[in-house]
Amino acid sequence: MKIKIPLIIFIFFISILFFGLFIETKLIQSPLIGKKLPNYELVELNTGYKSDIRMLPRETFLLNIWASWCLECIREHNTLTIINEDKKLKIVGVNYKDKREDALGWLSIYGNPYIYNIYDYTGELGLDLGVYGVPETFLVDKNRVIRAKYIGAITNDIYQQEIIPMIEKINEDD
Amino acid sequence: MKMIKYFIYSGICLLFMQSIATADTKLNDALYNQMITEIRCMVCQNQNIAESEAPLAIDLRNKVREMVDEGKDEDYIKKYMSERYSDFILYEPSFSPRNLILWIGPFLFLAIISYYFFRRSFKK
Amino acid sequence: MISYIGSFLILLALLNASLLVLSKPMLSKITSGYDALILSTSKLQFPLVLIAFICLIISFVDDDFSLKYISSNSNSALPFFYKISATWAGHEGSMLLWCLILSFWTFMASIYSKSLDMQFRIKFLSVMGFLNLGFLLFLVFTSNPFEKNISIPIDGKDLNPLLQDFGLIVHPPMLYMGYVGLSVVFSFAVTCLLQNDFKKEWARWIRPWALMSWSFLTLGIALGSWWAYYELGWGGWWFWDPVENASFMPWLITTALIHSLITCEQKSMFKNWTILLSIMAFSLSLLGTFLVRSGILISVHSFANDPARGAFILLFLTIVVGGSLLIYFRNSPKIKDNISFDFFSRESFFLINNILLVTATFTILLGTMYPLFLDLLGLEKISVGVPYYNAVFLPIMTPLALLAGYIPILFLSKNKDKKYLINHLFMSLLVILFLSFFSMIFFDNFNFSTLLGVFIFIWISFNIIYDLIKRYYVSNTRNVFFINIGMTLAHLGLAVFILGATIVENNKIEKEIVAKIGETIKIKNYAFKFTNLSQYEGPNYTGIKAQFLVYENNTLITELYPEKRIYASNDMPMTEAGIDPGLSRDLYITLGSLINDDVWSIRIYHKPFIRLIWLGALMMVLGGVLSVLSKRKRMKIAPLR
Repeated sequence: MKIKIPLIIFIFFISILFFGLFIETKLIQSPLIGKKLPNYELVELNTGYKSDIRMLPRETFLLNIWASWCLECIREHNTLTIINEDKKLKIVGVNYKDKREDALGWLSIYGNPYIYNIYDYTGELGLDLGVYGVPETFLVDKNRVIRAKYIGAITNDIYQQEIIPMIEKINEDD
Repeated sequence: MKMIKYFIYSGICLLFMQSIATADTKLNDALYNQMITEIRCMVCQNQNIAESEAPLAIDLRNKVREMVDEGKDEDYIKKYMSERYSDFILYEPSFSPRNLILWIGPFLFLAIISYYFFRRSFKK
Repeated sequence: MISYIGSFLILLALLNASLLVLSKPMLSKITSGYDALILSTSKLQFPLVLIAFICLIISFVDDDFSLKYISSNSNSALPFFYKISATWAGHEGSMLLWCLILSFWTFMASIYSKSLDMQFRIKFLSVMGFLNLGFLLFLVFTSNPFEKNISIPIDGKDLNPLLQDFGLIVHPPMLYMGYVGLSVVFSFAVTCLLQNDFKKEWARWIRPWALMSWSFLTLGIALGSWWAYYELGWGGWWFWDPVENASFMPWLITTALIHSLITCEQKSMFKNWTILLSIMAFSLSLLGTFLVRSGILISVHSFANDPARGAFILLFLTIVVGGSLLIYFRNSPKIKDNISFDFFSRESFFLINNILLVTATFTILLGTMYPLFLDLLGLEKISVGVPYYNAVFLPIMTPLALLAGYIPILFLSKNKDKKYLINHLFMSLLVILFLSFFSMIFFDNFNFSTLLGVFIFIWISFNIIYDLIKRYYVSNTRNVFFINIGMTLAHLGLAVFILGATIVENNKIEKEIVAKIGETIKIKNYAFKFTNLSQYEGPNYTGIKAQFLVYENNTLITELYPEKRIYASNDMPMTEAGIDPGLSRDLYITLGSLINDDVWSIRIYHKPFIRLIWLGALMMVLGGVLSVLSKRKRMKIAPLR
């Protein structure tokens, strides 16, 4: 009986198992990349005024989903503050399934790097954005098209090595 | 006679069917119950949203309930979920070229293995 | 102190296994006494590992938190019985259990192989020794349950609440008995290859071992299914979870193997195929071990992920499977295998049985591995779940189930075969058409799947029982019923299982509703009155218990107490279902979440004939065991040719 074919199949199979040991299983790709942000009709966290898609910055910005009950968001906050001080990128926050008082309190303790915050109490906007684990951050261009998504806390490394090059690429495309 | 045997079959089968086929489907909310077992929980990824207690699972169940009540069908609900969370959230793999091997594979395998064995085994 | 003994014994066991493996190659040139050494080391392995295992259990009961494994899986508040079962709840302990069971099967293989010739026996036990050695090496170097903590914690973490349950105590050991039992069949097959022969007597010898492993696997899988049903809170009994699939694949192949061994024994055909199946069965066992412990797939069963451990198991898997396959391709041409038979014959049936079972196995393997495959290619991550398997697996299994109805044909003489078969085929088709037509007229809830399930049940059970009764009247002895009682019972069990599974999945009622105390919910002719809600403190959890009075046709039949429990160690609330079991139906209630004040979401399920699933499985287990026992009796009467 020829051994070549079974041998190839066997090696193929073992390779799948081997390389499979090293991939990151939990992170799922977002189907929204390249698509326009979904419409929404919510209010702003602080003022209570209506907030919708037209009020977003007309330039490349970060949309950061966070909550006061989220521990990872505290970790991320340093980086967001740095990004804010860097003045290259505006940050709009989405306060996800949170109590207003808790959210505002959290901002006063840890600082507020956001130009403003959208208050998504029910999580409706989060659902439309495919959020499943805060913090999540979207890089959105001036046409409200989502260009990248980062799941988990943004670190300084991610900012320098992924976000900034991405901004430059977007500017080139225009 | 052999015929009698087969009619006894039928009789027993019919009796069975009668006692079972009284499931009240209106009570069942079939589409909702089916959908929540076919949507994966993105937080506890080894469970479907019927089973999971994660907040997202509860939100998604409510959303499915909402869509079912609005009269939306299975395709709409699935499309809604995969547009936001990617195909990963659906337990039924799509019928796309990427999944061709998955869907065709078993039947191809059956054909090949049957051919191989039947050729080898029978008296010429 | 005890843990040091345990540690030491493990090292001794490692040494013993090495002796077992190396005796022949190292000593055969010097002396011929290595026979005795191999026999004794193969027997000694078991007591060594057993005492080490007992040491681990004692350490758990003693709350010895100096051991990392114990402090991660147990604490002082854990109830006594769960401290014992926690021994095999985590990765390291379950690996020790695996080694224990492997040493046990080695012991049994050593004692019961006296009828095999010495040359064969030596090689056979050496191969088993090799497997023992591999697993012990893995244990000692990557997963030692006796590893010490750097600093001793005051108290341990908790055992996962899901595992604090009777099901946990029995499900893994039974499953492992099956998985590991296949190592005997595997070693046997490899030895046959090394001997360049596969005698009829050998096929006869190995069949009870395959049957025993099969029975244990069936039991283990059934227990897992039943456990998931009452523990996980939404009434499911099979999820096509990767690790479930990993246990199901060896089961399918072992089923094929049992049938193939019969052909081997009676007609001396398909020898090489049988050997290949034996190798495949155990390989799938090893694959299952790998999948659970490597973290490569997302599963409810996964132990803590560790790529390093995964790599080790993969290496072992590659050596064992790759090695045996190499030997297969090199040696199998040397084994005389004359395959030729009529299309309308018993062998044909066994062949179709094997083809379908192997295809089903391939299908499950494909579904389980495909997401990983796509991910590695950098393509999107997808999920493959219940809808896929229902669409692909069921069509393959249906002809297989129908095949079981033809068992009586196996006892017919050759001349009658062809005509009987054609008759049967024609009539069964007629019957299905007739029934479908009738059902559509009379019932408005016509469901083809239910019809098919019921038909298969009647087809198999009626054919078998009718045939037995016919033969009883012809031969006038009750012996007829007992000759192949194992086979009869197992196939009837299959029929019962199919009936239960088909009916419950197509006729179940699930109602999710919001209710507060005092309200009544109705399903069919049952009424569920929500009468009470109370909080209480358990040994290591806080529980909220609801009381439901259940009425059938306005008569009170039972009280159900669904609960929600919050364990001190875990954040996620656990659900305990309130179940009223019955052969014709289960009533199943779970508490959802608190909506506001005293309003709760409740789920009520009516599951018709769901118990038939596990009844059928138990019948199959019993059938397998009876087959082994009656075979042994027959073997004592009829000498080996």
